[in-house]
Amino acid sequence: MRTPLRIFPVARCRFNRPDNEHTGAGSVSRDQPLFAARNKQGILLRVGLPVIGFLLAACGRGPAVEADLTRRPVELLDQDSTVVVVPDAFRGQIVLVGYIYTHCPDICPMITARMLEIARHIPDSLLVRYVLVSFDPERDRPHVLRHYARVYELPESWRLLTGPESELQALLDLMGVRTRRSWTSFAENGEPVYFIDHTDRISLLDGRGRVRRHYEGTTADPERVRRDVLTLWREATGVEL
Amino acid sequence: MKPVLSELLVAASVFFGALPQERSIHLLDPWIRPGAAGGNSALYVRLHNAGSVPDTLLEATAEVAARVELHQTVSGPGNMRRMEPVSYVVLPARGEFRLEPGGWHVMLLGLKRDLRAGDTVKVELRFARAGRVQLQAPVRPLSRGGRR
Ligand SMILES: [Cu+2]
Repeated sequence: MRTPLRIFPVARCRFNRPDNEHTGAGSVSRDQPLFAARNKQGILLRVGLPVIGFLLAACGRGPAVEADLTRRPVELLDQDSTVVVVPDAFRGQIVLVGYIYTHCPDICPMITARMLEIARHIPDSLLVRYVLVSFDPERDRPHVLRHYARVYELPESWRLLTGPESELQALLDLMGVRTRRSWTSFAENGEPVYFIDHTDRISLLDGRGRVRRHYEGTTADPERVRRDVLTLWREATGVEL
Repeated sequence: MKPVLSELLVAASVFFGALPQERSIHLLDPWIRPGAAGGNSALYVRLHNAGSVPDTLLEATAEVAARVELHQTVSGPGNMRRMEPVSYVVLPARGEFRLEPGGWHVMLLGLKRDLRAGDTVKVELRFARAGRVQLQAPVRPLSRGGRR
């Protein structure tokens, strides 16, 4: 019985590989051998249920680690001007992170609206934290973020983060979020007006400051995010929900 | 006789189309994003053209904003999103053009006051044929209208 031994290492994380927004290379080719093996008639019967159970148990560890934020903790400010060190401040908690700038009235509110919808799908008892990171520190000072949160009626518990350019950039780099300023026009007072092109993304962190999944922000499926959160919860606590 | 009559009808519809009472342009389900004073907001609306000829949305104005532009959100590689000004939007004859999240919007820049859910905002759109058409858009909370 060489077949099951051969497919085991490749198949291990098959059930948890991301299927949407992946920019990271390698995930596709890693999956291919399993598809090939699956096409062989009767392989599941030969392998038997115990092995399948073993495979599933191995994959219960949840999605692969995309990035480890503990490698470069960043010191940011929330909307109350309180220092928040990411990821240390969220240790032990599952975190959903969206990336926005407050002068963006179309895509960014769509991402924020998605986060709200996702939050409605996730039980409060899981203590998931919701964080919006601004990539426009020049305009999005803490008081601007606080006012924005009020106008948009965001939950009090949400943290809106800004901070020094270098700190923010370090975080965005680890998150794989790209931004580019585009100058468009001049306001009446002669001030230049800019928008920011940016990656449309929501990220999921585990309780150890590691990025475990990226979603396309405007279209992230709340049900899928809920399942990922439950998987991380089970991984951390051993408790099936 | 018949061709003459139809030409007259077309001429009449063009003529009356320019008058406020006989609009061929209907602005359906307008709504607007919340926004902070000094910040920006976006107006979404279904532009319905009941007329037999296309029309063009040329510009918009709103007393609540310092400037108003027509914008399109464009996607680039790697899920990059970008807003771009557009100079006009064409409404097909007997058809509709939708300004909706993730697509086109009327961009309100430099808000003069906060826009909160429940507020109403007056916006005037100017069309090549139909001329100026006003609308009143309610500010919708984020919990509604996040969808594409
Ligand atoms: Cu815009």
